[in-house]
Amino acid sequence: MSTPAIKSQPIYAELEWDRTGTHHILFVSAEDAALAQRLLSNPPGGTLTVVHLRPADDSRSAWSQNLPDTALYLETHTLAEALEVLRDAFYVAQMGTRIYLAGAEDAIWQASQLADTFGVSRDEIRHAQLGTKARPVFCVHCRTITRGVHTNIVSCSGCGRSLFVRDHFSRRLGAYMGFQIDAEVPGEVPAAEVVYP
Amino acid sequence: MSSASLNVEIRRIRDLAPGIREFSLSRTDGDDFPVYSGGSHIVLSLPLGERTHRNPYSLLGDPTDRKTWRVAVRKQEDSRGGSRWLHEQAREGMRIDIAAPVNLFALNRLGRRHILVAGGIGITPILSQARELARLGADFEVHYAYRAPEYGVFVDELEALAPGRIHHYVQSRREQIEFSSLLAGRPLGTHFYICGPGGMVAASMNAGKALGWPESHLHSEQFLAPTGGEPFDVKLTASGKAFTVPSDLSLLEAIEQQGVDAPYLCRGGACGQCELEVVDASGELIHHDLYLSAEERASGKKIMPCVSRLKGGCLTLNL
Amino acid sequence: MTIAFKPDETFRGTYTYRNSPKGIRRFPFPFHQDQYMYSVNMEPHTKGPEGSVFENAFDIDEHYIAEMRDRAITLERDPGRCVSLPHMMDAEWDTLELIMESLSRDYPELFTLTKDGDRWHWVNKPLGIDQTFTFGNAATLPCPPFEYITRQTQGDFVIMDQRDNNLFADSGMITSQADWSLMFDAGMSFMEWHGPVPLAHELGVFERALKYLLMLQQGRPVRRLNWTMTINPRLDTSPETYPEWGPDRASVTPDNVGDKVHLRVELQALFRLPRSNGMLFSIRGYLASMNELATYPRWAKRLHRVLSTLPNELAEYKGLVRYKPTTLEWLSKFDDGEVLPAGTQPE
Ligand code: FES
Repeated sequence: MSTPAIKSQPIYAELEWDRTGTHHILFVSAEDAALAQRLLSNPPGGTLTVVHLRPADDSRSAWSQNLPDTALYLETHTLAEALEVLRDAFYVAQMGTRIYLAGAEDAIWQASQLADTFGVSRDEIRHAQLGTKARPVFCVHCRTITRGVHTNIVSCSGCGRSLFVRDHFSRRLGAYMGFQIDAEVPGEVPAAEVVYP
Repeated sequence: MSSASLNVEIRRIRDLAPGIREFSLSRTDGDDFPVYSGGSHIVLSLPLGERTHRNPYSLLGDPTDRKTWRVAVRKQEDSRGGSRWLHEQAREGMRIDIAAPVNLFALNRLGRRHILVAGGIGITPILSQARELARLGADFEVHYAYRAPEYGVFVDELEALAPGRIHHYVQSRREQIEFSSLLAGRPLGTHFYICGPGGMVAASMNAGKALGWPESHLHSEQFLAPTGGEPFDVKLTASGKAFTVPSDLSLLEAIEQQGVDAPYLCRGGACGQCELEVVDASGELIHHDLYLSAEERASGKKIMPCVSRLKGGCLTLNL
Repeated sequence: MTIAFKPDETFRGTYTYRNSPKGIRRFPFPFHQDQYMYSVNMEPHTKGPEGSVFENAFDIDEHYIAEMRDRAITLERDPGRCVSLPHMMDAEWDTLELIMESLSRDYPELFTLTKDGDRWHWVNKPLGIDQTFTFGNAATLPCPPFEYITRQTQGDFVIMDQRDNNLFADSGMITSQADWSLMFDAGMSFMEWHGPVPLAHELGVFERALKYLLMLQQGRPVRRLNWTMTINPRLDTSPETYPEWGPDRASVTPDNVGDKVHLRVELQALFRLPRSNGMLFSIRGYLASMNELATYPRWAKRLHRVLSTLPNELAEYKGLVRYKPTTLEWLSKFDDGEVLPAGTQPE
């Protein structure tokens, strides 16, 4: 884990249970067998709710195996459905709850925005990037968020401009900043490279 | 550092309960007070003999009242004298200096529910917080514990403010706040604020932590650390001056009073401009700055005179 | 002191903005020394010398009317340049109160405020505004209080909410910024918001600044200067409109440096707000072309040295890379190598 050049870029620490919490809500949207094994084999005290976003066809998932008996497991198949289930979980959750969001940045930061609306503070929530490194990118020119961006330069899904994807990140928008790369000399667009596999 | 101080007159003294007095203050220059935020305190400069004594008290009135500020003071027999002076010497019509409000016990405006707890005279900041929450139309409740019915000062003001949301715990009736049940099962986004005796505050914090509450949602009253300190002697080698820094001036201010030009910028320990070289220090350097590194502090060779001082003895500076 | 406003000057298209000789003389030239590096250069925002930009809490100058018109144009095109999160309403009123009281106290011939309890009567003569409203009741103003007052005050504004030992940029009126986006940055913590600034984090500048600001007290505002460079006297150099002004950076030639290249100085001031416990951050910008600055050769020499020793990271961050060589070449004519004593004053 290297220190980012821009301090707004999230740093994702290894996901651990925060055992000072007394209730735990885990949202996972990507496979990571080793992590699942490590976390689930040594669950925290108190209640545990797992909201799992998985493709409908995926028959085996490390996140649904080895669940502690006490865990409440909720399976969902689309991000919208997962966010609905999370909303219900936050709605009934009590102070003392810790929230863990693990998966692609797009999914975990949308879930994080939802938690914000419940007045959750930063010391109650943890984020972990799993699976794809693809980024949600906010176009400062037309304010569209282009999702699943793997390259350092991307064509905005809203206005079509060639955006440079900056490391500057907004938690409120759940996206990185994108701005037109050839604004100073129109047409001068370097070839895009895959940097967020 | 006294630019923001105000001169006020004690307009009215009310005995609220045995050992508890309320003071109403108004500005002597006839101007309006600024408004303040719930949970703020002011520092009163009290003339105790030849020494000024600075005591912080929470503002308890209506934060939007610009004519009158109120504080309530409990007489503390073992106090260094501030509360005793206010109970025994203070008279209506007397004038004192106060510093502008500071809030280190502010409400979190993103909170979805607020639980306010007061023990005894700790009701003062809670009262201004409750007024603010009532004005904002926020979801809140107040839990007020006091020794006996006659000690429930401000009960009427509170009830008028938030009828049905005030819970009383009267010690003489063996009523007590059970923090582990008070804090259990609260929805996400709840904030807890307490002001009261040390033991009560500690008990509530422990209960909160045991229930898994994070620090960011547990608030207890804090006062600003006093800016002054004990007097100490200073020698300046280059300008050949020797003088004493009184308790109510910073080292930098005392140097300036001697007519010596000393560099400065922020006057708050952050910029590094005022750094002076310590030639000798018989006594302990008390560093309050944000600038010097741990090694620089350990070397004993540098001091930031805008915020730091010496405890006991004499400080010799290259200036 | 009367101000001779220049209501017709423009900050886009025809770019007719110019400083009067008096305006140049009071320009807050920021370089004390021949080299520049970030520091916690904050000091009490106390009343400065008469006529200086530090004389008053909020400086109003000859460009006032024109700048307010330019802000209105920018907001018309993009209302998202004014953002205020819902929990900031008290801080909005705090800001309105602070600015109205300061302006009417400091410029009584231009602004008046009369209060009858919560009924306030505000008159802004230069902009021809006469408004009676109820303090605390947003419905009695034509727009929310923060937007209302900052449409009438020179400079950009951010209000920070203080919580969790941090400051969050939760409101802003930003139409003349040095290339940062309020829509993107709104809601950020102090460190996140300053995230893109190079080198300063490593020097611990923001950490110290944050701790210092968290303790900022009512009635004791502080200030600092910051700077960048802008091509053409343009206020709206936002990321949003980068495609409109970005090409200007490639348009600098040895013949037009003096007119086109501007030093842009921000007088930043921070005020603790009373009822919200928030903090108002005012960012008052001043623009001077190279020709205007060079009327005081001391400034031209100093700027030449600062630019030639500026670390690359800073030049890149400030967007100077493309036109820095041409500008340096132009400034070098003024620099005879004379040793300049510390200080920012003109001759
Ligand atoms: S004046 Fe800034 S650290 Fe002392």
